[in-house]
Amino acid sequence: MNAQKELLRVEHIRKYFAIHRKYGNPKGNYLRAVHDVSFTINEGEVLGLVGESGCGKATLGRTILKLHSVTAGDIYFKGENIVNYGFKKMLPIRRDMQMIFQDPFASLNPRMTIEKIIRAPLDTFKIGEPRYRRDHVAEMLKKVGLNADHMNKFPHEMSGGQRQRVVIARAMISNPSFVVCDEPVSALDVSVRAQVLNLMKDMQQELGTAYLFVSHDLSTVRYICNRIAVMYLGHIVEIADADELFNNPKHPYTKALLSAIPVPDVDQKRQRIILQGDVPSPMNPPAGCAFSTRCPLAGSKCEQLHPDLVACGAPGHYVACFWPE
Amino acid sequence: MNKKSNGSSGFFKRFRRHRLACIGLFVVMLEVILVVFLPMIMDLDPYSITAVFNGPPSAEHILGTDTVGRDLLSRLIYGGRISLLVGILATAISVAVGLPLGLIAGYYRGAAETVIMRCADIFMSFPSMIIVLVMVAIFGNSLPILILLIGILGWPQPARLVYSRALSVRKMEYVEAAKVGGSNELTIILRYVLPNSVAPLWMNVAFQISSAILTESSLSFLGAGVQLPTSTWGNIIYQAQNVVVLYSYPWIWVPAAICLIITVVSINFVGEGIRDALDPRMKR
Repeated sequence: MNAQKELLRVEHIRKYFAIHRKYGNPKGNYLRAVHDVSFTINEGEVLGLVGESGCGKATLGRTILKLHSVTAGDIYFKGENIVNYGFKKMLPIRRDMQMIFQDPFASLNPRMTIEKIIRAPLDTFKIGEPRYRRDHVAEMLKKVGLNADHMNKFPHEMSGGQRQRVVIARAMISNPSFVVCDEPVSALDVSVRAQVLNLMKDMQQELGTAYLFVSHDLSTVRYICNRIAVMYLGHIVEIADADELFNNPKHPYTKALLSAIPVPDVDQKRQRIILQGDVPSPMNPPAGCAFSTRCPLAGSKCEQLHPDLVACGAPGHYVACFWPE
Repeated sequence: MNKKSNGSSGFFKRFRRHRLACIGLFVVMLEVILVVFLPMIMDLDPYSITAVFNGPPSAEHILGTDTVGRDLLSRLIYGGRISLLVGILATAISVAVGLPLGLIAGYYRGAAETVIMRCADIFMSFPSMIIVLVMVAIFGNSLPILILLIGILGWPQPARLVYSRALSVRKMEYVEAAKVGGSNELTIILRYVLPNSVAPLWMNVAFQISSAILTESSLSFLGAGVQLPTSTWGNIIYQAQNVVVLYSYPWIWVPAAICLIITVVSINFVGEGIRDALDPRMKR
């Protein structure tokens, strides 16, 4: 990374979903999807966000884009706190923060042609003169590996990989400096995954965009990310540079995750760490460390106190554990 | 592969491919033309009473005469004017009221959903006949009021259909994509939620037109609708309530019943055609 200029800073962000809000929620039940998460993303950096299903990683990405209301915390984008921005104030910022969605079969309006879909951000953000917008769309299609012939097609006439290219084109056409990628390749066939991933990497390097790359696939994340944050039950438990995290994991949960990556070598004996039990319910999380119910190292301190992220080892390596190794 | 299938040209292309819908549209147009222009060409008199009661079809009265000796062809044509008007206008009002309310309830949920959908339930469970009878008693008995009443009382059906679709469409990622893309709520509702939620409505429209026509005739029967001697298809068919008419004088009610059925079936096909033509995924 060259400039190291901070682009996005998230501070103590929380997103709770009320359950039965409709009937006044008498019991006050909440689902804690994201609980007290802080991190920063520099310009042109790719931060991976990994964790198992339901750990709140997708919710975190959507909350930063304000697709969900924020329960508490601050989001600084280019130095501005956007948490309380309404629709009008968000508009110029939306141009600069976009999203690539998971399911290319659900993220394109089936009633719109590809041209209209990609052009929509140009029209809402009033980018360029209207008569040049069509050319702009054609140019963008070429960049993502499609061509101008695709403009008059409808999404159903394209394959999953092609659709995901359209999704990328739509996200990139306003030239954003930050893009949330919500499992962008997990819905694709394995054969086209690498192509789309390479496309995203090329775009990122060419345009200097920063990504928040949400995924459950560690190999994908390692391939594309500079830094990786590991999430568990709404918390970030460890964050470090990609190589550092893979070579020198500190948190017992990270270790268990890394040990589950398949190795393409029959002779190599892997030491798999099998975690016992299930992830606790985010409606009733443990009092102390979120991981204490399944952690092989957990003691009584872990059950009572919640560990904060603290620097540990290499610079930029933070871990939320009382017993980091 | 169709080369250019965007915009309205794609709509007409797909509609033309739906043969039954084209026939249906032709039949409905023909009916409207006949009902509007035939009285200008032919000498039709739906009111004057002739000497022949319950007369079977003859050279003088092509479709025969009714129980009090009025020419049935004239009554069928003039009745069609009222019935088609009531059916189409009342349904248009139902959709105009129900469609936006259903969209709002399904897209915004929360308080709007509770208020709108519970109102729809109340409207559907309350006997609408009684409301109409009371309203007619207050505002008097005229065709515009009747159309308005039938139309407004029919809003829950389109509202519920659109609502149930909007519930699933609002959670689609393309709606989120529109939000991230800076689209305002109105754009999202009109360009993303509406086009993906209206499909089931087109089929319902046909049924609603026929039920509006029949509601009008049952109101006439109760004395609150269009009054005799003005004829409607409904009140012609209602004469078949008399068992003697039903069995012995089928020419009185059969043509009106056939007209009603043909209209409903045709509109049904047109509805199906519009639904398919609006969906770019349909190509065949």
